[in-house]
Amino acid sequence: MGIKIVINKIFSLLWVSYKIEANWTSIKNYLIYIIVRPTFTLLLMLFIFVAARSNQQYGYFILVGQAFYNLVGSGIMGVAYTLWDDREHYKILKYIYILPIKLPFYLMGRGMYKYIEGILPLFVSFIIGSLIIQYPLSQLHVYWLLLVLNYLLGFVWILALGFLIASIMFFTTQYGWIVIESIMGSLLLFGNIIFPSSLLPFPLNVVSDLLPIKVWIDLNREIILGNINLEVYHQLEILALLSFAYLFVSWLLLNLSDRIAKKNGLIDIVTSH
Amino acid sequence: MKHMLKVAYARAYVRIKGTNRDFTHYIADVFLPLLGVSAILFAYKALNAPEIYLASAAVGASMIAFWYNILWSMASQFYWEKEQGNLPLFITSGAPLTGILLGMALGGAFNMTLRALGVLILTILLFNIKLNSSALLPTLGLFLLTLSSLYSLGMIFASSFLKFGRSVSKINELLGEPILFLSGVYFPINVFPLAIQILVSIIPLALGIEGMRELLILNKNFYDIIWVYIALIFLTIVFAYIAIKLLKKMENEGRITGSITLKWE
Repeated sequence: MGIKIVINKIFSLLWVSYKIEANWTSIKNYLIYIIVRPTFTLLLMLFIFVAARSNQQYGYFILVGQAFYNLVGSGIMGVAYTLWDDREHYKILKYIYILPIKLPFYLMGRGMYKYIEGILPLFVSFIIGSLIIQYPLSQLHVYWLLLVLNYLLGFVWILALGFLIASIMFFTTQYGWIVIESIMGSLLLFGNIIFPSSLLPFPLNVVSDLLPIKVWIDLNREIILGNINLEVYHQLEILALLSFAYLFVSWLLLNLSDRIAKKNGLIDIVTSH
Repeated sequence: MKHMLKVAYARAYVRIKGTNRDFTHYIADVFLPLLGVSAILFAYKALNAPEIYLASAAVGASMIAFWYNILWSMASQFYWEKEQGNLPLFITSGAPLTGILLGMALGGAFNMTLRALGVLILTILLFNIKLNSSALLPTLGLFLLTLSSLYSLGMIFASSFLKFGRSVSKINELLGEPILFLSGVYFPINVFPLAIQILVSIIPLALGIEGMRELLILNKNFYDIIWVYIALIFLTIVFAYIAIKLLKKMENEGRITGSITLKWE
């Protein structure tokens, strides 16, 4: 497949994803819709800091953690929920198989849209959040190149987690939400999002060390502050290794689940609607 | 009235039976919120916040399930019934829609109470949270009043959401976190400016959680917070009245415009 064809396919998937997500309202309402929820989720967490009247550095810790965590949720939902929604709700999953693309590629495109879309609420909520905790934005010296690189690496492991959930989604209907919520809840608890994961008791802190999200969130904190040193580059290497390892394993699992689902006639089964 | 109560019982029975027949659902419904609550409590620990903040978050977090139940199992329920083709069947059966709504509310409230208790008890045990056990009786009264006003509000949503199409789920999403934030589920609402505190008093969840915190954590008594009880009774009456009127209006409009059935049926 030529690079031009791949790019065209990705653009087509981004476009169809946008149409599916946004065609229920006007563009203005849609933009409000995608901003409101992540912003309030961030405020919900930031007010823990406001209530406890702690030092501003901790406010920054929660601000970056939760703002980027929202992006994670958006991306994972884009990949994993799509499989469930297409099969159970819109009943179009079987038609995806007759497209000139493979299922993982399709899910990747759908997830990519949600991940890109998440940038807008990320920026808006970050600015609102920093105003709420009165964090001086002038203290930030963002290394944009590294931030973009980290953003791209983020998509790799988010895609991996999406694939992982999607491979379970083939075999479940009512438990679909439970699987997604379990992963999201676990990432909030183990991901270094609103508190340092070192506070977790053993062996839960070890779980945290094995998750790419922990390194990813910490890198975002350092890169936005402008604290760039050799350790940051080392952490980027670790993140890249972890992310691609996750992606490889989850891709294998997704393909295996896909084969089993086809064999058992689960592709076009509708059980909950 | 007797007919309506029979319908309510039938609908509540289905909801309770359907939700609880598989115990794994109960485990998931308790375990999943526990992940989020634990993260919040660890955050408070990291901030070296006083114990009352942890207790406060534990009480508030156990009430979150009710709000999601209102949105996803009350507000959007008639819309889903319409999508599945059940709504015309409900109406042809002669069962009053108010009875069905009441049954949905009672069944949902019962199910969520089991789950909220599970979350609260586990949080108390895991994080060694101390609550004022002598205030259990007034807290129970407050809890029931909170539920009655909350589910009356849910009945308003259920009626008005009949008007919407695919945007229902988006509206639900928009009403999720903002209301949880304004209700101060993880922090006391006195962190808000006074004007916002007054404004959020029309949200039953905010009133209920704040009242429970006053009783269970700040050791206040029934008379100290009697205004919360009165406000919740008032909200229940107002919301229930609006819900019944709105439901009738929507049903009549639906009959005239043909919006009770799906377009392609």
